[in-house]
Amino acid sequence: MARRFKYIGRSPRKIDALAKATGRAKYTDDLSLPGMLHGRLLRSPHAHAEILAVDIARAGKLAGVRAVITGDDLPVRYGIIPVSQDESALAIGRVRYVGEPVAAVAADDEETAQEALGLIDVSYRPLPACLGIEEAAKEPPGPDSRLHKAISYEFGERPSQASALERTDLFFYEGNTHLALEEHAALAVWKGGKLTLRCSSQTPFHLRQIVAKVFAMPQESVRVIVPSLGGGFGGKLDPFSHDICAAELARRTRRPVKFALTREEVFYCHRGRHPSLMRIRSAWAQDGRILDLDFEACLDGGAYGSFGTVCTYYHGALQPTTYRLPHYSFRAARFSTNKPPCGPKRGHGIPQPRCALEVHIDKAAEQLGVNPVDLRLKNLATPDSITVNMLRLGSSGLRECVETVAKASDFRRRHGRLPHGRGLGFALGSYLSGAGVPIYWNEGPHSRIRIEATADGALTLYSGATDIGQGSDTVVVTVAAEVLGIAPERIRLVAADTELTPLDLGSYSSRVTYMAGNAAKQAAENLKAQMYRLAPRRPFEAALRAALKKTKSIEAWGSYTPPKKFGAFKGSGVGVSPAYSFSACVASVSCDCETGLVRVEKIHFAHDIGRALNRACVLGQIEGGIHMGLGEALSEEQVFHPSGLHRKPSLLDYKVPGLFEMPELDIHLVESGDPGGPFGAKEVGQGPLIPVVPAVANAIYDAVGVRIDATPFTPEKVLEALDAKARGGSGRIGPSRFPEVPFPEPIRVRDA
Amino acid sequence: MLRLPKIRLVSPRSLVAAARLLVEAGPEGAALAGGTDLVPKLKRRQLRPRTLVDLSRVEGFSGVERRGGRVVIGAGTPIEELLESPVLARLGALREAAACVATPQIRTSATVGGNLALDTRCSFYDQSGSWREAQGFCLKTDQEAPCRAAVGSERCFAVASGDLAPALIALGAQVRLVGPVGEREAALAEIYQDTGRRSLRLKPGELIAAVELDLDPRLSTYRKLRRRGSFDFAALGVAVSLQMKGGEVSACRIVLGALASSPIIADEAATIMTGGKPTLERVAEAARAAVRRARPVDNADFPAAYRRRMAGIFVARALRDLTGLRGKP
Repeated sequence: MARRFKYIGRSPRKIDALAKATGRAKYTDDLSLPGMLHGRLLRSPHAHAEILAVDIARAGKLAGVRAVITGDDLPVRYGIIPVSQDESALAIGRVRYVGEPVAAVAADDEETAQEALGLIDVSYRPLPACLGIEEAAKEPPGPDSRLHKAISYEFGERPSQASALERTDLFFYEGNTHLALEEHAALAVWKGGKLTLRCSSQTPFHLRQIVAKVFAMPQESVRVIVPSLGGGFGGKLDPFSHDICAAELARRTRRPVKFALTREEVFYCHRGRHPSLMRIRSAWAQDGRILDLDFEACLDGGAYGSFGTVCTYYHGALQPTTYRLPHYSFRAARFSTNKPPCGPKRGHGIPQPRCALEVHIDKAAEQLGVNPVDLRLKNLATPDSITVNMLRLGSSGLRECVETVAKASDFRRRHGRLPHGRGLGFALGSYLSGAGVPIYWNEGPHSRIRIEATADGALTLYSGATDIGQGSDTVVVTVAAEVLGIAPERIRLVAADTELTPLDLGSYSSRVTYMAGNAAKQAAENLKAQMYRLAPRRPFEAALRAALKKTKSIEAWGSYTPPKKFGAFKGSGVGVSPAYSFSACVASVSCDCETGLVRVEKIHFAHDIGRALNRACVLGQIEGGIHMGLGEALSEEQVFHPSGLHRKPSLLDYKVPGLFEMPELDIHLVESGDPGGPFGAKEVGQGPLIPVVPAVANAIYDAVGVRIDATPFTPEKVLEALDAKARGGSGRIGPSRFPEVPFPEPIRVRDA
Repeated sequence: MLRLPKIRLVSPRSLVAAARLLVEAGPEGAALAGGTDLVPKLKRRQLRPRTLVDLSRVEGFSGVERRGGRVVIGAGTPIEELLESPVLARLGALREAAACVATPQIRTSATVGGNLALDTRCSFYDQSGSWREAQGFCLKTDQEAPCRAAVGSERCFAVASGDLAPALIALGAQVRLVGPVGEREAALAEIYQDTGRRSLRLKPGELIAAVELDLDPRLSTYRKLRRRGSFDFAALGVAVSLQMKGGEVSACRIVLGALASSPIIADEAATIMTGGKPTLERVAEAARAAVRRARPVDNADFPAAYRRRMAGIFVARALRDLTGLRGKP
């Protein structure tokens, strides 16, 4: 290490750990205000239907009911990104998925509100529902088209060299959801034309903007506060019906109104992983170099836009950050279906294509007769280079990640040579340390931090970043403490309150450590400079006292704006990041050939974190990412009955892995030291999930010789594949067709 | 989360009083023991009773007691206590079944009687009130409605997925039942019937007071199919008990759980194993016979065909393990 740090790189306790562990931390649903009413939402029982009439008269007359509202009361359309302003707080004229909110009630207590829902009479005219990609792709272009977004790109030049191997593969990645422990909640109060909304949001500043739009009021009249938040994973980025209905019902009743969703309702909020059907074609030279990669995807978007457009772009953005591709083309289409909207789940649109690609490469390696690790190393993207799709790659510890897990698992010697029923699988992945281009375009900084020293000697750090459990509060305080040379406990924190804290774009795209961390560092350096200008050459506390005698208070600002993007074509903003994280994973599995049951015995994992600011938090994120990845690989699926009803909207039936499913973990941190990151740090919140799923897929193949090309890799699928293989078939389970999609003419970018 | 609605709670001191209160409350009443299955159902408005008869104050309702060559387990005994009791140490099937009920935290509250009286489960029934309304109600609760799991079916196929019943039936357990006007004893197997709507053959108000069984030197084991190593209800349960004499099987019981609305006693399979030395061929034949008894429908986790096939695998594995046989026939 170039210099010794006092707090950075160690594992001090998270600043909110004690409050959370002892139950003192207050989440939105823990809050109660005098005179508070309780809200409940009436949800659609139909996957697709016209709303003929909504009669609220009976509900309104129930004793204890204070207000009932319907879609017409909140006509303004909104959405989390500017190009998808397609949602309304309550359905207007039509419902598009089972669980879509239709009406809302505020009553003296929850039970009365719940009872009132049963007294709202809605007449529907059911319409045909579309529940999958194949069905959606069949609709011809026109007013009934289900095509939401289609894009097509072609980068670089295909080398003239003849290919030794060409192959095509199909893969289906099933949808799944975030399953944050805290269910969504919102508590709204109006006072003198001003709205205060306390809610479980990962993006208080975006929510403020959207609420201001819906109520046609200036943003400064809306205050969004995020109390303790129990996990987000992307599921709390969008503005939700309950947020806006709480505000509207509070406005009408002039009383505080709280909504606290049930677990089932959270499944309807969704915004989780898009089901994605993908096709990959590649061409390889005899020596194992990739000559050409062609990637296609159809995404099942659910009923509304959400972040879907971004997700569609992300499907093709990051393949070139890990592999040098001379020629790369990619096409993706997102379809609207009658299911809860899909959106950003940990990894956004990247886990699906990465999984398909890493499985595809594993298959190519076998055909080329090259060890899967060596084939990847041969094609690894070069650090500090420009990718074929015009992304500027900065620091990269990917090679070290690959070599670390290969060595730790003895992969080169053991892969392909373990006894039948046991196998090793390898995969790698990459993610952004914050999107370089914000979803709401503005020239300003993406994060700002203010530190104030007041006459009483107090030091207060104001951060707009939202701690969703990942530890961002701890990160900004630790970074400032390190710069100032004082204990983190010395700094008071005010966070995630749009009235008190400076703007931060929110907790998504793994941007907070990099961007808010840099802003905190700059603010602390600024404070230090101001202080020592007034009172030079003293220890910190003495200097602060002396400086405050002269000036009463010191205010220091820090901010972060990412570097400008590199490409200049439409869509070139997606995938741009100031730094990329890299991971490599080896999964060791055993498979019971009589039951098809796959057990992940061990995960070897290496992650290029740049620099670990808080080691325990970093390891926690990696462990959590592996856990979530294993769920997507083995058991989790957001699936529906033909009626459009969710099959398993409960913690019991939605099979998130438990403690017994967690394998032994062997985690290595690669600290490549990113020149632009705070103390060299990069992201860890999302990247580690990504390689886990394909590593497990590849390990199953190594163990029993079957290819399960559709997540999750359940025992019933493995057994079906083993049966097919025993009958002389290929032993592959997965999609066999890719629909005809009217992709647009590609945007050609030749000049890498 | 939606909090519990207001419900009248009565806490009698005796089972007879509890039984009478349940009769008084009629269909609007429900018995509350550990509450681990009932309370989540109340929270999601799947059930809406007005009166809960709380059994936690009933005296002498909990505990494991040895009486000569027999053991008596109070129905109010928390399941976790079965794992701690030295008296039950050699009842393999019971201990293994108890160890895979839900989670350790749930087992400290969930009771033996509650698990034996567990309502049958179905993926179309174990949902919130609003979910069931959207799907359309079903045969489980509405005589006029269709079955959603087996379309066209005249009967309800909800599944008896308790873990303790197959194990205890394989061990030959008896139960003592207390009703409003007296008590009776019955073989545990006899209190179940293969009808999903109401799988317990109990009289109005009747409650399970205790389970009684022999502490004989039988070998036994329990296997459970579930998606995860914890939490999940059985998608299949297999309990097997064997008595060996001079290297031969003198008695055998094979019970399949979670494949029908009551535990299935696979007597044909047991007969194949009984008399003579155990062999891999007989094990395979017994497993095939057991599978023939299984007719699950798609209303639990895992496809029905997979559950049925696993019944054969699990029976064979249980028999091989108990008899010490290795390999495949």
